[in-house]
Amino acid sequence: MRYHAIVGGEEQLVEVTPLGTTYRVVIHAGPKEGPNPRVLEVDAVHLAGAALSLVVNGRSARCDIDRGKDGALSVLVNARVQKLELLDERKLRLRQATGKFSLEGPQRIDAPMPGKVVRVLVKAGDEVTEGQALVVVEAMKMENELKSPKAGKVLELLAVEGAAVEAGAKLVVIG
Amino acid sequence: MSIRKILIANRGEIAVRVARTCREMGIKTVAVYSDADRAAVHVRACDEAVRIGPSASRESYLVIENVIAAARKTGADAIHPGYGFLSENARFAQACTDAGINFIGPLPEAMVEMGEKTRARRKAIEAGVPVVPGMKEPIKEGGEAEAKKFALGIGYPIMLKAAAGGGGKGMRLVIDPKDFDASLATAQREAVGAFNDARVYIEKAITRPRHIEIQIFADKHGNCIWLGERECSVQRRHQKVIEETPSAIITPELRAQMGEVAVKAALAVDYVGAGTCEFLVDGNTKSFYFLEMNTRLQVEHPVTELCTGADLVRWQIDIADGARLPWTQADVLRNLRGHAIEARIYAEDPAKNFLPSPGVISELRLADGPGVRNDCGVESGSEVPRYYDPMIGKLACWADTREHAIARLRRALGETVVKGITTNTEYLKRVLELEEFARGDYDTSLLARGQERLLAEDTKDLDIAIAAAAIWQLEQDQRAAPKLQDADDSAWAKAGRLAQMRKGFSR
Repeated sequence: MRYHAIVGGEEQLVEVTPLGTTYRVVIHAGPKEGPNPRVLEVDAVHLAGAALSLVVNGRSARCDIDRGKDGALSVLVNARVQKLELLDERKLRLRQATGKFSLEGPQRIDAPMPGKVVRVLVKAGDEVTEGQALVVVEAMKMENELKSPKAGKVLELLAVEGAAVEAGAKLVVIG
Repeated sequence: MSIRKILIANRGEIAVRVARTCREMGIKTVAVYSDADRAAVHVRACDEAVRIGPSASRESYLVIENVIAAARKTGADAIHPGYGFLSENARFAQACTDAGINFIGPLPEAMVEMGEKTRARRKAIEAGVPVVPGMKEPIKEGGEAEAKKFALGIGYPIMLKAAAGGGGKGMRLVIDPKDFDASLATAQREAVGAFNDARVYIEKAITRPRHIEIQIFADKHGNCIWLGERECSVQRRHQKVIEETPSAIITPELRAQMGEVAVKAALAVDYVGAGTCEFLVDGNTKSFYFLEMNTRLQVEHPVTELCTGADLVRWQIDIADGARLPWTQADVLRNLRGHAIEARIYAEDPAKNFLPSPGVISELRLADGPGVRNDCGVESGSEVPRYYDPMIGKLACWADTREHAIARLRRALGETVVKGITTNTEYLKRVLELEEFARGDYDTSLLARGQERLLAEDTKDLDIAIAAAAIWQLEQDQRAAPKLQDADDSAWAKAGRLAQMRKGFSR
């Protein structure tokens, strides 16, 4: 089976082949098959919950896997969390078609979590710079500034001061 | 009259922690809960439980009448306030007294004196305790212009602090005079949200300071002792993250000096129970300034318990019941041993500017082994509600030396797994790995200065992570696939499986 791992915005091609009780995992540095892939012979055992015990070249590691709300995977290995996305061919094509990889086109700024809009710092039609604070949302007693991911114009402004918002609610669109 | 039933006017890990000692003492316990907390661990840690209102703390945990009514209804003869919420609210302490309920803490008068920071400063000055220059009264309504003038007078940088506050809420550092208005507005808003009291005051900010506090205990018979210090300089935006005792820079002489000053401040207001005097210590000169007194049990009290062997909650209850202090100052000096260090585990995402990360904890595995203590308010399946502080627990370790205690806490953090929500456990581990921290050479700016190193991407073991994810995904895909092709089953079985798969996909 072939998967595309996206780590820190970089795509890596991963091939997994079951070999009886073990697996061969081949990781290519780029999105296509390259000349010097890393090859891992992996002995994997399922543990309770979404966790695996791996033995790789004699090294033993427990891997806890957690799928976030956005579909990204957090893999905890030796007390370090590695964040990655794993897409098969179909999901990769879908992803490329929707252009989620880039910041081209209008960008939605959503409420990252449920809370209350305490301040709206821009007006519809304002020109904004990358990193400029747009809206302040209060949640769990702390105020969080939501910043513009790119330079552009405020195309839509849905955030209203004092309003309660759910996670994922559209607040601002920058184009 | 002896205490037989205690209502714990709090939630989360501290409610669980207080309930544990009550059980050990054979005292019955009453939990209170908001709608969001019906299924919370602390409700089950107690013998009885009473709903005190909707999810927002302003409508539940902060409503004095509701808490008192719950105590009356259950016949509780004492209330333990924990920390935060109503713990430093003198009106609440008075309401308890008026209702004939033993408030486990100081008298309301002492809370008024010490709880409000500006009054505490005045008291400290009267008692001859050194303080940082600042306002003796909170900023009055309409007094902003005057306050600005005052700030210029003592010189920037300045600190804006909530008069009723603590815990870093409603606190802002202002470096540039032009930011004064915006910072004041933010500090006031946070102060209202956290303490229902918008009053804020100004203090001169000491650059490169260390935050070191002294635990004191006083009984109702005029005895007062100190139980050593806690260094709390590892802070992010004035919120403590890691605490340790002893401090790497405190000598036995300085400890005794600060301890005596703290005891003097407490005796000046006829203090009773557990209290903490916070000091700013200049890391170079080791001059110390009294900051404030917290009239409650502190979040970080476990490190003191680990190094003294005392159960501070038991002491609080016994003292509220009229008992004398179990130890003299000489007993403390004899019992202090080793080194303890605590890390606060928050439901937050360091990679997203520490955005709180509420939600359901799908799996929780806590550290274990030699010298490890967990104070945790959640378990596997718990929901971390968005209404309250994002701290879900504390992990503390004890060892014979500072070096060993740090190594032990690093090891224990590595064993801690919280799935379903994002936490700061890896960040905490990296803090312990900072070279300045290991040397004990740090101040309250440690985390800000170390920011880049603390948040740097670490791709060691990335290949193992990718392999694990790919194998896991492959097995999921393979498990899902054959079910679709199964042709021999009855229509019912197929419909059932399909429904199950849909559930699986929507997750």
